[in-house]
Amino acid sequence: MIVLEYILLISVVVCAVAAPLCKRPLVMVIVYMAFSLMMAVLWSLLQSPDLAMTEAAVGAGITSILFFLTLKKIHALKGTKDE
Amino acid sequence: MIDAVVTAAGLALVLFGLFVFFSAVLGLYRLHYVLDRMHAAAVGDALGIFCILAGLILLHGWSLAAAKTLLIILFLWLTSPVASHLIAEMEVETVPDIRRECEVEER
Amino acid sequence: MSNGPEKQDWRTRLVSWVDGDREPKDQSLFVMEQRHRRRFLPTEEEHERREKTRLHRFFNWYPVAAVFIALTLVTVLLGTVLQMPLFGQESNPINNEVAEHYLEHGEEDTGSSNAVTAMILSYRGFDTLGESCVLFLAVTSVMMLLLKDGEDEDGKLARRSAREADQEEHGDIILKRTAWVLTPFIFLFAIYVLLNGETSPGGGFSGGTILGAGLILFSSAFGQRNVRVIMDRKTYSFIRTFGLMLYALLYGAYIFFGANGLPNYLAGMALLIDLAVGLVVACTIYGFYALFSTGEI
Repeated sequence: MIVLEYILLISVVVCAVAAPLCKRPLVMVIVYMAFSLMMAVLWSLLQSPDLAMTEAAVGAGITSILFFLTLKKIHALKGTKDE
Repeated sequence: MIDAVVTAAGLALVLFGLFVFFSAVLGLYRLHYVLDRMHAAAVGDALGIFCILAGLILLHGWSLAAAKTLLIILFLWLTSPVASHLIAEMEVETVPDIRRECEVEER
Repeated sequence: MSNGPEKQDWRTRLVSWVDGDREPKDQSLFVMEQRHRRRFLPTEEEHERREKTRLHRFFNWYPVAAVFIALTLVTVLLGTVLQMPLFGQESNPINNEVAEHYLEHGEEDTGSSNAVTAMILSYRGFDTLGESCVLFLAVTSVMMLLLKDGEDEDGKLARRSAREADQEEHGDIILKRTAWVLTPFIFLFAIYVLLNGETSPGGGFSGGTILGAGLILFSSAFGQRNVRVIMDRKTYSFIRTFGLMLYALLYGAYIFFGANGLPNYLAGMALLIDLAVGLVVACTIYGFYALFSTGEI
């Protein structure tokens, strides 16, 4: 378990550093989504399942959908019909 | 005797699932075209997760958690192929010179 | 009596100012001294050159400023962390009798065996009320910003949105069938999480989020026109307001009972509060999605 926690912590830091360094907004949103998922697993390892559920639903699901919708609205997605 | 067989089967399933995930990640990095990479990722999503969760059920024994794991398998088998299908359809619809890469079925 | 008409005038001016009239009734008060327009506008090339130098200067200074701000933030945050008490010490301020009291008497005080639910809904219920108000206000302000007004331009907008609604239903039959099968189960799971927050992990926030996600799935597969069959704008506003009002009412009653030393008459109150919070959260999430994607609910 400890090893898994360390791996997850290192990946969380890597994701947090990588998210603002990405060039394309879409990649940024996806990296942020991965960050949220790993945070959810970490919460459940820290024995707070309430927080893990909310983090998985809000951070990885809803926030990404809203980001994707915004990117579509401002025509920042490559190759969609609106472009 | 039966315990040993069940444990061996569970271990084999988990190891096979890990192998499938490894090949999926390898395919994601090595293949060049979008649909090829999607194929690799979809195999990892469906087959790999099924193998690992079924192996975990076998290793853990029958309990309420195993039933919940079965529900998770059902949910993932319903949703993740649909997600892959939608991504592939998006790719086919939006790329103009798709016919140079692969055959497209008219609908 | 002499200042009667003046008062009237003052009032009408105030009302017109509040209403945001472009041209105030009394011109002498509000018209500013008019300046002559500057004649010497720069030429096109000159303008472009200036913009380019400004951009150049900006991009020269941008990394320096970014690094400076980031380093300052890191220094401040690290300094704050160093000032904090060490992890796991006995004399830390969090290890006082409050946490023990919550853990020991939580069940008999609030009637919910999940300590987290007991804390966020009963002991710290005022915080949760504030959070619900924040969500409510957020979706209200997004509605003020993004909601389309369907009545202007001789119904042109309404016709266009009807055409969009025809298009927005997803054409793929696989997605539709899967969503048709899965949506009831997602709603069932959401209701389970929502109502079971007293005894198991979950509660208003997570259950409401899952409910909102199910609504988003349904609306993205079948189009918002079909969601409007069960939930049009009036119902939506009613549910949103009803959730917040129910929470405020219940928590007010709770505070009243607690302050007067009365026994807790509302045994299943955590259930109702969970329901209220879940309704507010689900409406907020679905409202964000609907307003961001089409500007309608």
